[in-house]
Amino acid sequence: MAVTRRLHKYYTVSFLKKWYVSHQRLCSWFSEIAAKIVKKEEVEEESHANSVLCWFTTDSVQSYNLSFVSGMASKAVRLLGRCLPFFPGKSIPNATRVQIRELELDETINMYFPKDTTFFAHDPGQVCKPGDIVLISSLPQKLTPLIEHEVLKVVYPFGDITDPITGKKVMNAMYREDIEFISEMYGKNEKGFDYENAPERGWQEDKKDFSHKQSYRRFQVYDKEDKQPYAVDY
Amino acid sequence: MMSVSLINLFKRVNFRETVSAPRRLTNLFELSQSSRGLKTVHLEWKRPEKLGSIHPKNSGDLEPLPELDKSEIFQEFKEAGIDIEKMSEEQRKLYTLGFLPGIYAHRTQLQNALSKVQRHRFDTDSIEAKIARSTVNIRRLQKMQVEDQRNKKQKVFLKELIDKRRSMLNKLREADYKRFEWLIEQLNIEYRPQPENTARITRKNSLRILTEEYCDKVKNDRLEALKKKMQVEKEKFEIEKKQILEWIEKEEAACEKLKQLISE
Repeated sequence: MAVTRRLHKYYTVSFLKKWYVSHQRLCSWFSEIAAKIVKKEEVEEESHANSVLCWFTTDSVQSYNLSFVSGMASKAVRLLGRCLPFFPGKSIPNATRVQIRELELDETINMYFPKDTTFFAHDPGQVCKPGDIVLISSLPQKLTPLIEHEVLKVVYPFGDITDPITGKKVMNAMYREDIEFISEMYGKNEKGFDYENAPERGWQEDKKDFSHKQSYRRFQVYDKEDKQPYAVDY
Repeated sequence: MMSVSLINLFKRVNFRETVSAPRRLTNLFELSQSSRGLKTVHLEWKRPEKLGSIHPKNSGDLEPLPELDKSEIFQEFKEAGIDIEKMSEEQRKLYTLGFLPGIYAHRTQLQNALSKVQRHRFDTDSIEAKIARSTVNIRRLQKMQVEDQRNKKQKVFLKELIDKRRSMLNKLREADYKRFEWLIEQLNIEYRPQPENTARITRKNSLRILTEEYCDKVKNDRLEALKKKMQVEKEKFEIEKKQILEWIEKEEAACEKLKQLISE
């Protein structure tokens, strides 16, 4: 327990701001970590050795978002970004919207600020869900005027966070192991939540969880049947 | 109840006003440009009732608080070790939920909700416990608000409480999705994301959507009718095809016989 709490101290923004004042040092420190992960995950071929990788993390794992080069997201071969809520319709079917965050240098203050760019990525299987962190690559040819990229895989699914350094599962500021350890020490509640027997994500879709579709305000009262299942009566 | 002719609708469209739905507008525009003989369509529109954010349908509470057995003895007295069996019935009545003030019943409700969700016996500070506690409070206040509708302070407090719970649910969803789904199922809460487009519902816009729906329906119906028609023709065509092929085979056979005759 004590060890994890101490470790978590290093993930906070305030700590980073204190100790890594110069941004160059910060970038180099993060780049080492990112390089380790990239070795594990992807980029074995030499053809992609020159790819620029933008490093995007969730708030709860690492509370600092980083990319190496600002303004390079449009030129990069492979990108790591977060899926935004996007619901394919008639005009753009089989696609997701991916947001990529970079750091941009403001030369007057000599300080970096986050800058977001969004892309449409081709996703025929509709694997991505809003909030997932996905790896996308640029296509050799444009599919449509809007779609230039393709989803390779989901790296970190939403709400199922792994610590990139240790590879353990995390909930907020603590490892899941530690949470279970504490509850076992006090005497675990038998009715409580159990990770091992828990079903896969999505078993409450259209029952009690309606977040997989876009919600809207109700505009009509139909007599016979409810044609607006995702409506809200504000 | 309202009847609107399509022609009048097109006349009323101000293309610069509605930026939020460009696709619909373009569709309408094309229709009005291309088609000349427009007919009148009677569309019915009923304005949906505003329920307010406090209403259990919008807060996501699918059930009210369960009613307690009033002859039951308050549980904390049991744990304290009071000998109830020795007492007379009139004395015992003092410790029941029916006789005690209402806050004791509320405390039992809280404890019942917590015991479903807690990680361990002393857990009151985890996010699940907080959500469980706030749901009990919300459901109690919703019941009270129906009885006393002019209590504005209570109403504001309730709304803030609902918003807090929603933000807590959002946080839990981000941190641990499986736990979030389990919690929703346990507490019987419905989770709907807030809509991105919070524009006011107007007659004009909703009629536009309805016209689009109507047009889609007409299009689909005609397509289906055409498909049915084609399928009937397909069967006819296959019979014809068989007959013609048989005829061709016969002719070919006859031709070969002729060839043989000529060669001989």
